[in-house]
Amino acid sequence: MSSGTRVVLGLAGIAGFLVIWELVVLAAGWTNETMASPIDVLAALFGSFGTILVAAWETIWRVVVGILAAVAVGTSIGMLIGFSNAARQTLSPLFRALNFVPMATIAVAIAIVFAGVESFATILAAFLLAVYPVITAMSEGIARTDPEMENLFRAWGASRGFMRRKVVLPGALPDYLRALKTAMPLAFVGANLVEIIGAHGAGLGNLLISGRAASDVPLIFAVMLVQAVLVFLLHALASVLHGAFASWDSKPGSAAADGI
Amino acid sequence: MTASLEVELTDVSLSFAGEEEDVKVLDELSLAVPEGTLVSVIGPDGCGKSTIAKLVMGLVQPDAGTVKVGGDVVDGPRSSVGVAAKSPALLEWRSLVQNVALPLEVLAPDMPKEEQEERAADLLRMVDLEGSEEKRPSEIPEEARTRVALCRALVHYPQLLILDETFGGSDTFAREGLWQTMNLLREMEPFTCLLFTQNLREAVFLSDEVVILSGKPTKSRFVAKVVSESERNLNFLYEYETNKLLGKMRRQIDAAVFGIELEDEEEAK
Repeated sequence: MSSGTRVVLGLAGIAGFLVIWELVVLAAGWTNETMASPIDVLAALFGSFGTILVAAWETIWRVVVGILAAVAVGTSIGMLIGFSNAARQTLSPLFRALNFVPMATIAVAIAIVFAGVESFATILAAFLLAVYPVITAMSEGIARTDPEMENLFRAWGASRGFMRRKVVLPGALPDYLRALKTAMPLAFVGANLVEIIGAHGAGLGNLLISGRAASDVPLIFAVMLVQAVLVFLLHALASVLHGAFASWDSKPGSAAADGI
Repeated sequence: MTASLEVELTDVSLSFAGEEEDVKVLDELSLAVPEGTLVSVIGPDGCGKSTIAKLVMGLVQPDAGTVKVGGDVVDGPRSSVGVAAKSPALLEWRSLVQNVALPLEVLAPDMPKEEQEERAADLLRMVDLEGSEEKRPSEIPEEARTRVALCRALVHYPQLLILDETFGGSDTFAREGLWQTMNLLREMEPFTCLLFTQNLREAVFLSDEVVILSGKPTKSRFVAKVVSESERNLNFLYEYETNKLLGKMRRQIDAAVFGIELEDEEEAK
């Protein structure tokens, strides 16, 4: 099947979904307090565009700060665990246990504990949800180094630093960049949860709350649409990074396999 | 400096720490690889082939006895040794020529990059990989990756080449091709070679001498000299005398597996 045909079919699927949605809402005679049709959503999107844009900015800058912190901290801890056996034995059980705490609960706890410092709470939630995949990918990527490769470097008398620079870290890079594709959208989820639960008056999550209070379903759907676009952009950014720094990676989930 | 080095293991014993008690792997084992020759070491799994390889590489020290390369006691890794292991262990983010040149970045850091890659490309040409220099490891077949690993092992002009089951991953015909490549490389580049393998035909085809290890811990060895007047081609493997030698070696392996002590003997064709 040619790529043109594939695009046409894909678009037809989306269009068909929207048309059926519109028709169902029309046929059922639902008002804006019950359900929104695609046309209502578009109307709400353009009607409240300014408000949505401001809220989106409030969310996205906190998400980005949270991601940057998660990358910095996660990379350091991941390297520590990967390179130091003592650190691995000390920290691995802790992180494994923390991984069993449901992510949404973490966000709820943060929203309550840090009520009143909304920016901090939002960033913290974004950070905490994103940091785990980064730590895991970094430490496991390092641990997966081929032992035969290590023997070779030792036989050449290469220093540990040389081996890390030339083999271990480049080898961990694809998994690490793949993990960013998970971590970046997760940061977004964390931030939004705090915005919704904390109800502190900022961000897209807050807009959802006001939509609910006003029974404005089209607004809620419009915010959802914007969130989807932002998550897509974060994922695309991670894919671009993957393609730029690990273009040689041919495993599934790589830039080449994703088609981005 | 000579172009190749002799290897000598004298009364080498080595134990590894086990769950409850130490496990002795080698017990007063002696082994010699004369300068410029290729000696194969054959033995069943777990007989300590890789351990001997690590001893000669200088990655492991013996509990007793001496390991000498070129007359000097091995007390650590040395640049005169080249190594190719079971898996090619190539780096996917490097082109083939960059993979081959990698040891030079450690062992000859002052050598200009162009010279390093020139040397690497020369070797790739010798093993019929001309034109593939810029490919990535995943873009060539497994057997070709083994040839790249051989080039990488030889790039820094080692005087001793250690091959630890290097040809193990390939199918029969590819493997025979690798043997011929190996003989070609030996003609082009002078080095002593220690080959660890489980394949009798491979040992006979490539070696001047075959050593079969036996005992648990590994203690004794059977040495078979392989002599051939004519050029070593694949027909050599199907000659009557060669097969007689293979049969004799096969019986030695059985003896090693079932723990029967056989006399040390030297056999000449």
